Amino acid sequence: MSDKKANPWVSVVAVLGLIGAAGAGAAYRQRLEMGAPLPSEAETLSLDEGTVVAQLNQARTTSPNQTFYQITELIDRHYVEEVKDLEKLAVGSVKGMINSLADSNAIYYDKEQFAAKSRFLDGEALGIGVELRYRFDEAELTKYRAARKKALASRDKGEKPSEAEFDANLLVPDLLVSAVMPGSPAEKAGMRPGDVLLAVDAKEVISSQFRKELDALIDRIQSQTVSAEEITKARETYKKRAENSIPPARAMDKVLLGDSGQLALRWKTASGEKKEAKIAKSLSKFAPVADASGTIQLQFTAGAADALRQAVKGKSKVMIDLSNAANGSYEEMVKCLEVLLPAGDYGSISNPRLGTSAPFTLKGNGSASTQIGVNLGQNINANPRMFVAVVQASEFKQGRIQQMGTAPPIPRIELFELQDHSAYEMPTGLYNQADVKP
Amino acid sequence: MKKGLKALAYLTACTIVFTAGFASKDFRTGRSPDLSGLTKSPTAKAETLTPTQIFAREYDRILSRYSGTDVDETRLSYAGYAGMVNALGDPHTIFMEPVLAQDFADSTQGLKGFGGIGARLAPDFLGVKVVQVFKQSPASSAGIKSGDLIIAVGGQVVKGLESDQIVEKIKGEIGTPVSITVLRDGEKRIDLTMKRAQIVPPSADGLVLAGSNIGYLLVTAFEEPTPRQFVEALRELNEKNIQGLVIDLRGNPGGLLSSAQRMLSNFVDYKPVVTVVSAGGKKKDVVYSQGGALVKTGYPITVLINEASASAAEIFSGVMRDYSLATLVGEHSYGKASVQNVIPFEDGSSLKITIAHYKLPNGSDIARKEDPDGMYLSGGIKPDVAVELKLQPNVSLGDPVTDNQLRTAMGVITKKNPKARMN
Repeated sequence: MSDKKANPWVSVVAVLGLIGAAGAGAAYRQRLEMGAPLPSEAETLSLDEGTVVAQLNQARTTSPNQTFYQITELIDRHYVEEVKDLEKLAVGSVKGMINSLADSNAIYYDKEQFAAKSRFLDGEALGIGVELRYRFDEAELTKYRAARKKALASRDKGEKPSEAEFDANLLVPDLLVSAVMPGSPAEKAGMRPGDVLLAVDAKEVISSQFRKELDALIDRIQSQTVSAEEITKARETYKKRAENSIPPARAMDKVLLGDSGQLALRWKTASGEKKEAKIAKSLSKFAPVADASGTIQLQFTAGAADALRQAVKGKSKVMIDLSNAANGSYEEMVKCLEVLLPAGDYGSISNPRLGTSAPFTLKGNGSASTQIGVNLGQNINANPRMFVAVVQASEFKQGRIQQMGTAPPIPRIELFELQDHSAYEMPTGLYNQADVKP
Repeated sequence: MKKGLKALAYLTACTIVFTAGFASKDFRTGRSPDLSGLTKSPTAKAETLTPTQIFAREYDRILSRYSGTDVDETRLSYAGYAGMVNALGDPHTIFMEPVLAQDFADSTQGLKGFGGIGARLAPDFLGVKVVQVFKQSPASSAGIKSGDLIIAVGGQVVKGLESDQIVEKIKGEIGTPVSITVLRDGEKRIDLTMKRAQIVPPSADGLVLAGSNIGYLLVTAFEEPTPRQFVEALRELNEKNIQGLVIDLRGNPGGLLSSAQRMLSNFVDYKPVVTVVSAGGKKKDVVYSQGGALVKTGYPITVLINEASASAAEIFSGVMRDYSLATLVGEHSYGKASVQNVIPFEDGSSLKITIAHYKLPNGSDIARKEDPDGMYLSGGIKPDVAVELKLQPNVSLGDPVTDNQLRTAMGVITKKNPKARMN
């Protein structure tokens, strides 16, 4: 054996085999880290949008996943510090995508915010016991959308958006108190739904008005036509106000998170009256259903449907008050509708971007003869709005009302949890009551 | 039997090499190998998603479920990459979309130009004042001099307009003509017509300050061509026998570390400039100034800084101070103590990533600290002589009469050198 000349090809193949094994090892590692492709949404999705999704997935020629993996690799290799938590980066990408939608209904919640939100949906409000929502000025929002469209178009063409277009992007909302939980510190301090938060711990909440006033100050500082004293005064005012301000998102956290400590708050009522109070944070528990002299005050939080079933048992006339209803959960809201209304189709849910539409179907066993009235407030959220619209569609269907309102389509907002227990919500359809027939 | 052993040995070798391949990423990044991925079964892995899977799932979900109309795949993926990079919590590590990436590349190469006449202008009651005329520019060929007042553009009197509005009127498409009326020495009106040309303002330019024998070197950025422009300007000033030098780095956002290093070599002969610390503190590199590039300066030097002086501008001023070569005048600097690299991608986007921190020769760390609202707490380079800019109408930076920080810097020089004088 030993004196026989070895076939050179055998050793070449052996070496190639070894190289191949090393390459396979590295590739296996990359596959593990990238993760096997997940089942496409098209397979797991409810029927309403399925077909279009499948087409969308096929249309994508290059893979963003590979680019994403490549960037994690680059960070791993080059970043100045060792990055231990790559999951945090992945979750950051989700936050970035959600914020890029520039949609006031698409919101990312970090761990702490989502924990507070989850407890709220279980009937436990933290902070001062309110629900806060961003409210955008409609006229400014229209201006903003047009400017954004222009800016995105010029960006797609490879041009840099103009300063004016960037400016329009700095849209600042008001912080609206959209619900005040019964028995909460906020309620005791006299806060009501419809109030707008102005200052937290002597720091002015940055609002659209605040921004306009600061812009005016900057103009005066840069102007060459006013006196030196005026410029100095404007500079000082600007500095003072800018230093004593707080962005709305941080103000929101201060008000909504935690169950200890005290906040000095200033707010404006719907009629323009300014109020202030020191409010101590504490946990306030609230029930999804409360009976106030025959009217049912409803919150779409855990257990709402069961409690509602008890509350309406045997009644032929039901009065529901949603004037202080928080947004709550979409699923619980639908369950509440199924308690009250008989099974059937009540309009449709469409997705204008995907061009899909599906009937909005309830599988409930409510009685068709129950008369339902709903009280709604000025500042009502998406879920309560949809609830009202569906009840209205039902009343129309049963022939108890002759006409439906001409409400614009209402977003169906769904919540998605990520594995680090942060979450986001976004509109996944528009409810439309128009095609309901009596 | 022997053959079986050989095959077994080969298989073992294959396994070892496979494992080495698997762990190669760890060796590359300088870590102890983590082989847990090999022993864990893939089904156990399926419980937790990998970072890429987390991204992929939500990216697909948004595209397949979101009902808003204003979303597109490319933009969404860019927003995802940007969000991921932002999660590092380092404001200097950013993902740049193609438009921004191109803009950034142009700015570091000093290529960003516009159509103009080639003069630096400052606000004035009657219009705009010419502070400086760039070499080989339409303005210099037409005979415009610093100190001239531009009182009309295109036949229209510009008095009463804001200076940036006037500048917009002077700028325009390359090759188009523009007529300008200047007032010289307060009395002579001169009408001039010139063709606008591509203007790339030099990032370093010098002049002798009016009414003094002190040189003034304005450095607006540390770009590729800056060191050459800097040393040329410095030599020209030296030929004019200046008795002091003010290097103005106010508003200078920095740029290339290599440019700062080359420019420092005019004053510092082969000495440590910065210590660059990377790989979580494990790797240290000392960057030295070049030897043999010294320019003779027998006069006092002051460096003007403010909060908008960052990065390479801080390295430059910090090194000058640490080797007692200059007095720093003005306000504290920004406090950017890190070095970035730019990694371009095929589609024109790129990743700007912090690869190292640096320390100045005396070992100080100037990293900026901010409160959660982004307000300055500490960091940056403290000036030796602190003086705030007095902002008043008609203040123009670089003007030895109205710019109070510049005046302070000149005062420092005249105190140190009796031969230096100012009005």
